[in-house]
Amino acid sequence: MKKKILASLLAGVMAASVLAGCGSGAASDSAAQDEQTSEAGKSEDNEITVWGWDKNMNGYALEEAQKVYGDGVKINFVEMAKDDCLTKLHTVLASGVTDDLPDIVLISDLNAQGYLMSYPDAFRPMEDVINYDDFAEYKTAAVSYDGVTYGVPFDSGVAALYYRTDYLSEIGYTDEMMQDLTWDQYLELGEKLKEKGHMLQTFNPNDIAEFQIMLQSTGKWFTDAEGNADFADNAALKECYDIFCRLNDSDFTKVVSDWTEFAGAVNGGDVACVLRGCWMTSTIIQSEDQSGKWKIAPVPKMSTEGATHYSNQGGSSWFVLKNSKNSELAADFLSKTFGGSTELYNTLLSEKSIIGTYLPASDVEAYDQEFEFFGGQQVNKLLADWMSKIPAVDTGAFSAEAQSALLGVTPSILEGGDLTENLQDAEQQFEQSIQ
Amino acid sequence: MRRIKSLFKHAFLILFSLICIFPFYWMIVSATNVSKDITMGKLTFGNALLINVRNAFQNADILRAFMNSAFLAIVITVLSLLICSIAGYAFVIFPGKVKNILFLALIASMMVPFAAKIIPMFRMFSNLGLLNSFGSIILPAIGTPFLIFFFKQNTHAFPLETIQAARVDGLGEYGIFFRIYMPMMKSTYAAAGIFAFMASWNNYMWPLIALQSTDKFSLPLAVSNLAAGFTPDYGMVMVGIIISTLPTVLVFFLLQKAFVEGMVGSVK
Repeated sequence: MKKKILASLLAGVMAASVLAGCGSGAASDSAAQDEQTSEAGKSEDNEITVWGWDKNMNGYALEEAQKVYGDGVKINFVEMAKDDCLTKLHTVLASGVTDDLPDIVLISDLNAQGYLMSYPDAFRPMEDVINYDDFAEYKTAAVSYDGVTYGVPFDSGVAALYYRTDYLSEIGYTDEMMQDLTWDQYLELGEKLKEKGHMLQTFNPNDIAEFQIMLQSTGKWFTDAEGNADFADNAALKECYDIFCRLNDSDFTKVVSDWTEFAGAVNGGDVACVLRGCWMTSTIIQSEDQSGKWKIAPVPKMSTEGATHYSNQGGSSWFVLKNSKNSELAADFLSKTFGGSTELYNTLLSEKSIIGTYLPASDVEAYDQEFEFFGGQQVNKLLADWMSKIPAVDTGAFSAEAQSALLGVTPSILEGGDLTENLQDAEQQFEQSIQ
Repeated sequence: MRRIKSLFKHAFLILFSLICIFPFYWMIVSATNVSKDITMGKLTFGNALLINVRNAFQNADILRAFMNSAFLAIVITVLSLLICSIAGYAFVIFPGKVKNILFLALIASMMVPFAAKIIPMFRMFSNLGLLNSFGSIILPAIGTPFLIFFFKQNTHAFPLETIQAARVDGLGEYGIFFRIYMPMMKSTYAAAGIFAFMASWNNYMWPLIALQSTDKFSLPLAVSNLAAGFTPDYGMVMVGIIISTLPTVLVFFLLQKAFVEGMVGSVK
C-alpha cells in the first residue's frame, strides 16, 4: 500500500513538473516549436549536416568540395570548437538518439580510434566507395579499426623542422647541412647558437607533444598493436626521454609553459628552430618582418632502429554516421570530393596551404608554388614528399591516456630518477586508467 | 599610529584590487593588439581594435548570438524568478507534511553533477522534439533548486504578521504574494535575478549539446568558435570576450546595492 502511494506520488510530481514547465515556458516554447517545424519544412532532402571546427580551414574545404560535387548537395556546416565537437558527438552517440545525428563529423586522428572502438556501429565503413590505396598509408591506419576502414582521410600534420636561416648562417650552417641531421647533431647546434645569443628551440617540461613526432618517425607509438602500454621496453621512447633530459639540462632552450609563450618565442625571434606539424606555418608567417628568414628541413633522425626523417603531428579525417538521415549521400559526396578530386586538393593547397593526404593529387600545380616567406622554397612540394614517407603507426584508442601517464612520471625522470623504473610505474598507471 | 594602520590597509586593498582588475585590463588591451603582440606579452594599447572587431564579426555571427543569448537570459531570468520565488514562499508559509521530504529531495538533486544528467536530458528533449529549440534551454533553467533554496531561506526572515494582517484585511493569497511579498523582497529578487541572469548568460555545456544549428548558438558558443582554429587570433577572441562580459558587468553594477542587501538577507 505504502509503495503504491509513493509510486503515485512520484508519478504525480513528475507529471506536474512537466506540465508546470510546459505551461510557464509556453510562449517561448511555441515560438521555438514553430521555428522548428518551419525549419524542418525548409530543410531539403539533399542537405548534409557536417560538424567540425575551424571555419577558415575545414569550413572552407567543405565549401570548395561542394563546388566540385555540384548542385546535388547542400552543406550545412555547424562550426564548434574542436573539444566541443568531440563532447557533443560523444553525447549524441551515447544517448542512442539517431534523429539528431549529423551526416558527417570531423574527428582528429588521435581521437578517431576511441570513437570507432566505443561506438562500433555508429560509423559507416567506407571501403566500398573509397580506394584507400590513394591515401598515405599512415593516415589510413589512423582511420581504421579492427581491420575495417571508416574515415576519409583529410589534412596532414606532416612534421617539419622550421629553422631561421639568418641565425644558422651566423654559426656557419648552410641549408644543405640541415637536410640530414641526427638528434645529436641538432643538439650540438644549440651550443653554437647560444654563443651567438640565440636559443635552439623552446622547451616545455610539461608537454611531451614532440614525442609524437619523434616516436612516429621511428614507426613506434606509446602503445603496441593490442593497445597495451609500450613504455619500459620501447627503445624509441627511451631515446625520446634521453633527448628530453638533455634539452632540460641545457642552457640553450627557451623555457615556455603554454601555447601563447611558445608562439611568442617563435614570433619574437627568440629561437632558431621549431619542430612541429605543418600547421605551424600559419603561426610562423604572422611575423611578416621575418619573411625570407625561415626555411624547412626534414625532422632530425633518431638513432633507434627504423628511424626516418619523416613524421606527423595532428591532422583529422571525415567520418560518415551510418544512421544519419543522408548517410548515403554523404558517403557519395566524400568519395567524389575528398576521396577522388585532385582539382579540390589543388584549390585547397593554393588558396589555404592545406596539405591533403590524397596521393594522386601530389603532382598538382599548386605544389610548385615558391614561398617568399620561406626564401623561395617549394614548401608544399617538400611537405608532400615527406608525407608519403611517414611510417604508419597504430595509434590505438588510448594515446591521450598514455601521454598523461607518462607526464606523471616525467618530473621524476627529469630529476634524474631511473628511467626504466619510472616507465614501469607509468605503465601501471596507464593500465589502471584504461580499465 | 592609526594613519600607518590605514595606510597599510589601503596598500593591501589596492594591491588586491589591482590583481582583480588586471585580467580585465589585459582583456581590453589585448583587444587592441594583433595576435602576435598578445602572445609576446604586450601590455600597452595598440591600434588593431577596429581590425579585431571586424574579424570577430566576420568570423562569427556575434550579433545574432548576442540576441539569442539576451533573449534566453531575459526569459529565463523572469520565469525562474517567478517560479522559484513562488516555490520558496510556499515552502515557508504554507503548512504541510510532505514539504520537508520534497525539500530534501530538492536539495539532494543539487548534488547530482550536470555531467551525469546530460545523456538522459538529451534523450528526453529529443523525445519531446525540442532539441535545437530555445525551449530545450529554457525549460531546464527555470526551476533551479538553488534559487528555490535561496528564496526559502530569505522568506524565513519575512514577517509572518504582515501576511496575517493582510489576511485579516481580506487580501487573497495571490494578492498577498504579488502585492505584499514581492515588493518587500525586492533585494532578494535582485540578488536572485543576478544569479539567474549570470547562470543563463554563461551557460555553456547544455546549449552546446542541445542546440544543433549555428543560427541558434548562444554567445559563449560563438566566442568559443572564434578560438577554434589551429592558429587562434587572440585579438579577435578578446573582442568576443569583451562583448560577452559586458552584459554581466552591466547587470551587476546596476543591481549591486540590492545584490549586497539580498545576500545579507535583510527585509526592511
